[in-house]
Amino acid sequence: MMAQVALVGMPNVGKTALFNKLTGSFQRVANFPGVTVEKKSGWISENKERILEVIDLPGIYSLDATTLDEKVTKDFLLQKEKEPSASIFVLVLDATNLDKSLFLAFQLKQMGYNLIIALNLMDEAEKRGFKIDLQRLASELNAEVIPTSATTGFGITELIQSIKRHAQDKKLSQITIPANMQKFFRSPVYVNDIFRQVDLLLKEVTLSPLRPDTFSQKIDNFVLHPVWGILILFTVLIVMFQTLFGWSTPLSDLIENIFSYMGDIASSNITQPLIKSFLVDGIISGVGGVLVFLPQIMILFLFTQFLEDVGYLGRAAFMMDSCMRKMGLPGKAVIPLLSSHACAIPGIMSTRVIENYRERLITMLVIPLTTCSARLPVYAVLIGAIIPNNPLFGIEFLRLPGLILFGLYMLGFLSAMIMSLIFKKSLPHSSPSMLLMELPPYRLPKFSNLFLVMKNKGKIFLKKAGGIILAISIVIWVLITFPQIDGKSHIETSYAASIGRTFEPVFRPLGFDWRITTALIPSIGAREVVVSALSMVLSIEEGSDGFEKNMSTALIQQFGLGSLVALLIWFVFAPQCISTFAVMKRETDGYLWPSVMVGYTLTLAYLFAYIAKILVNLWS
Amino acid sequence: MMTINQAPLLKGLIITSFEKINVEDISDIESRLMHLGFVNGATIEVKRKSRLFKEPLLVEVRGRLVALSKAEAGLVTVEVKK
Repeated sequence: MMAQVALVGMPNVGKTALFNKLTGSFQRVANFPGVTVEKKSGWISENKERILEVIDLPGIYSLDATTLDEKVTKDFLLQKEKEPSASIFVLVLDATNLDKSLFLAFQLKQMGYNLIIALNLMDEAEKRGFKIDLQRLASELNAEVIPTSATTGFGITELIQSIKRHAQDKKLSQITIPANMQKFFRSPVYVNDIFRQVDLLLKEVTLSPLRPDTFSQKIDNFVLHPVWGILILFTVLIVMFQTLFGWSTPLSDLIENIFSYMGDIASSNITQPLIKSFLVDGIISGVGGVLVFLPQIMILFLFTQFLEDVGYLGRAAFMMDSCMRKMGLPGKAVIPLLSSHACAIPGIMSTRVIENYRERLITMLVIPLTTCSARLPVYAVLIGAIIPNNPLFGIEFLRLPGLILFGLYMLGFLSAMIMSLIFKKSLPHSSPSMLLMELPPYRLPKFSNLFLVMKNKGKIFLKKAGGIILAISIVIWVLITFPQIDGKSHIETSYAASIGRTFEPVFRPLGFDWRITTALIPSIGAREVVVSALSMVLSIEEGSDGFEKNMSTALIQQFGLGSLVALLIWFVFAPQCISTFAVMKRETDGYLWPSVMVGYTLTLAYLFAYIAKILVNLWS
Repeated sequence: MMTINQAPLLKGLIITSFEKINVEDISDIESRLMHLGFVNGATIEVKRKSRLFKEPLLVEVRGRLVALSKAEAGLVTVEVKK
């Protein structure tokens, strides 16, 4: 059996960068058994052959774990896991702040762990004048100490050699677990004693002390300033989302064009109509529907990882925390919430920056209420149908439809905030909600590391969510294609229409007839599809006035003001597309929370659409 | 005697908390605070405090910057270093 190496360390010591350096692209991401905490493992290879398995454990401050991530690491270290624990433990220390990271080193040594110590960020420490007696440190800690730099690759070969030696020696750690662990690790006497030992050791091994990090202090004077800091934060967010749109749109368009081209080729080469429809409208459109999200997801992760690695993410959370916390969300939720205005899928995936699972869950649950870009075509057609395009207060560029659109965005955002307060009060506490966060010094990120993270996140999305999205796309294709009459599909006689008619009585109070309920079925795949589905059931074609104008006119003639306002409000609250459901299932490791999300958004959508319908009827 | 959130900015402060506290009464947050270096006798300094909401606070402890909410800062008692 291949030896397992566990990387242990406090947060922000460069552990993951070291993991990436050791394993390169030989990585896989799964969950620890029974929990949603990510388990990253990879392999150290020699001549393209995997020789050692490496596990990157979540960062831990001490063995008295308080968060879910820390509990996973603690259970792994104390060999409480169902899977066999590692045989070799590499403790990663931050050479620029040994004061903090030696605490864990003493705890692990006291318990009998046979450690290899990677003294990481040594290049940065040396630049700040730090010199250390490595031999003395090694003898005091009774462990091999290897200075490393995950950024430059310094010391990585030596670290691998040391791991290989340990693997050959097969010297297993003989650990002693205290009887009442929590009481033992929480004792102030014990904690004080370890800090005293750390101070003593540092006095003995430090040859030249570290100069203070004046660079970070100078930047913080602007970044954490009450006025400049907020301006910088909003500038960063605006640049981020502008670039996100700017970079991802051509790539998404390219993917769409490729799939459209593939569809054209399939259409012109396949004569059997049903097979053609299955391939073009089911498979090609389903796979295309998955891949089209990929550029946005990967670029957003590139940005969030960049902000995290550079040390800004913690500062952004610090700036926003008091404001966001009043609404039941942590400061770090600002990035997922804003990115969800582009698309909920990368938004939900980027909640991974929130450490507390409960706060992360609340953020994921309210994300569907923010207005994603797929709602825009629906809003455009419905607003066009019900709101006259008149200037407001005689100002030409200030028009009523624009104001209504802004109002819908605000309605979505405010609902998200109110729901987060409700979830905050109703969801059980699993681990304490705390800010208590260390702000790391500013560092230049390593771009190969950023690209590796981006690639891995993209892979996770394709693997875990792609399958479900494709399967549902095929189910929707079956519903709108069958049964066929004279070898042709007609949406008004399809299974989707039968379902629409079955549910018509339920939706009648909202003013939705079978045509609207039928059009809502394919919109489960993607919201914007409701526009084309409605055009199919209403038999609207491109005319001299353009499709959108024709559609708006037909909608108001066929359904009336009340039903269309109800439909507009329905789309503010209604559940996100199936891709969001799939990603939520993947992120929460089950169907419970995606079902809660669908359940509460459906309830809100129905309730508010009904209220809107009644109000419009009263008014008119 | 005051807590961190009541302490003046940019002054050396000595922690006086967690001296005779019963181990069973130590909460998860207090435990995390201790493990970050907020132990009895340690020197800290409040670097920043939000002017609008008076939180979060930025505190330097054992050479690192730690962001604390008002509630967390209220758990640690300090006195100004003479």
